[in-house]
Amino acid sequence: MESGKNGKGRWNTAVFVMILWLVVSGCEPKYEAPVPTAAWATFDSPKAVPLNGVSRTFMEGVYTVTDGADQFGEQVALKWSYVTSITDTTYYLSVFCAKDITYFVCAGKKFNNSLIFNGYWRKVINAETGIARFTINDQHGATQLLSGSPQIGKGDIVLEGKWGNGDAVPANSVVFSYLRPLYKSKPLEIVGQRSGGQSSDHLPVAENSIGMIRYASRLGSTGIEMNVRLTSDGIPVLYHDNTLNLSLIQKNGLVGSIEDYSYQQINTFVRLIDGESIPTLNDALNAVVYSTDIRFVVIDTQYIGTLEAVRQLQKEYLQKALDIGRDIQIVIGLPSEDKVNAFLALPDYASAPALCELSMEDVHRTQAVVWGPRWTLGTQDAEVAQIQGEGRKAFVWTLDDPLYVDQFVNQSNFDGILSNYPSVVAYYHYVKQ
Amino acid sequence: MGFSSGWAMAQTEAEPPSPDSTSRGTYALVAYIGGGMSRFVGTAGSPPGFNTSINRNSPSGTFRLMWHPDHLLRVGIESGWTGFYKYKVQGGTYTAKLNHTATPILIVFSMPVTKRLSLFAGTGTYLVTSYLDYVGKVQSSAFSLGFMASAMYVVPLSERVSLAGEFKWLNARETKDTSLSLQLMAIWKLYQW
Repeated sequence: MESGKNGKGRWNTAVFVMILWLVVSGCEPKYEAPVPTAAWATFDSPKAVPLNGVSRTFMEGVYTVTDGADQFGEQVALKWSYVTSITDTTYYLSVFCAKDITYFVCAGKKFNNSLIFNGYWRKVINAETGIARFTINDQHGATQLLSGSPQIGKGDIVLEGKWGNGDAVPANSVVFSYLRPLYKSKPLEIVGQRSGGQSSDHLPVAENSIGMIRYASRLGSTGIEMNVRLTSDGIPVLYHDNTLNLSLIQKNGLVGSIEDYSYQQINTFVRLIDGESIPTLNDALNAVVYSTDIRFVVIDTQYIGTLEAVRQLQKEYLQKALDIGRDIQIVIGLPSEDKVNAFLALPDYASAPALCELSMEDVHRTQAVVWGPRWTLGTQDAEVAQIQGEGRKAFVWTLDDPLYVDQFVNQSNFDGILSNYPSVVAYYHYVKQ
Repeated sequence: MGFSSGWAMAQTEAEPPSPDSTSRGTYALVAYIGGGMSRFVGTAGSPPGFNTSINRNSPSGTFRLMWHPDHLLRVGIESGWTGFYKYKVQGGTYTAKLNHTATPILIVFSMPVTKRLSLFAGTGTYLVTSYLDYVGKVQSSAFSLGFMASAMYVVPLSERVSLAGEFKWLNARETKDTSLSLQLMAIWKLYQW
């Protein structure tokens, strides 16, 4: 009896200690991936001047990784993008890798007879990041690229680089050697979700922010999907989740839904995790049309209610884009029956471009310009051919697993792919042959 | 052991089973009710760029119903109310006020470690509520997974009633709200079988 009593006591104690451990272990580790400080004296010197458009265009391509393949994979795709402000246009060189959903973002300049590139790399599957620097010297393509009409073939351009971890001065070798041009035979719309990427991936900018809209093309996006909610006073703003929560915003004491608060309350009290304000849909479309090279926008409304305010902004910005010669499609997303009903309640729905995720019948009913089925239904070749035969497009969502991205890029006939990892889609698309 | 002195002893050890191997000790249903003050120890969020005064002290209260079986580990449920923090913001012609509170709804375990000292640990959800007064009033709530841990010192007053002092840690994990609380508790054995 004595040993039974002690045994019970030990069991009780063990269980209680386990429960206490569970409580204590509720503490969450914090992950961050801050952009490394990339100051480089050579790059920042007055002798380093911006590259011209010819140099940029001709160095885009598929490259073999001749050194550093264990870190970045066997081949990569290099592509330029830009953002504009009132005073300036800034060009960025992105490098897309399949391995570990890695990408590079660099700025480029001419320095004497060489081309130099300064920026950082990031693996999205974890929080690893670091400084990256490259040089194309005059014997490995710089002379060609700086000439007026380069003739580029395999091996003609070699980017010799160094990469490091965090803010450490890069010391590990990485070399890219030109293989062939980027695939351009059949365009693919690469649509980044949450305006380009998720906050949970610890990107340099918050999801559904002006910063992310301006960053999206560096991640490989040619289009973006914006998530829209209405404040209590009917202002459409960009925000994905049902509630204000600390994975998307800085702590401010407010809880509950965006819909509970007016725009003035939200704008005064709420900051996204990177410190930006929650943008209105008006601000967001303004940024797309006037500041980026993004050419496709899906407005995904997360609320139940009228689409009037969204439709007005869609019309306004389609016209603005036309006025400045920008070729942009802005579509209203229709993921559910109640959204379809709200859309059909618009007096001018027949002229409102839409992306319908439901059946073919719903596509016809809403006169949607894009059909967007989910990827789990397969490549649906016959259905895609039918939709394309009607003059519409077919986009598939949401493809994040590199294995399936590879499959859909190479084996399906979709016109676009929605993904949380547009850099992977960009890689598999641009390395196609 | 007599019934009247059994209550204090039940805090520290299980009732000895009867010689019959199929019988058990005494079970009891025990209620804990108390109140006191809490101090917010986490980072109190406030809007950027404003002159903000933050008050981290708030009243708090607890209601707990525990099952005391014939062994050391006890289990029960807990609720109550705690203020986390409130702040006042002055910006231009506007004054804004915010009050941030929570109602815990937890499953709780406890174990007596000495004759009068017991430890509690629990998990569950907090209903976190914010009351904003700025260009209109808004009250809004959200659930947050959370935890609780405490230490309680019990002073028996009678066979069924005790008084206790409790030092408690409350954590609403998803809203990153943490407070420490000191409460005076009345403990009442409701039923025994």
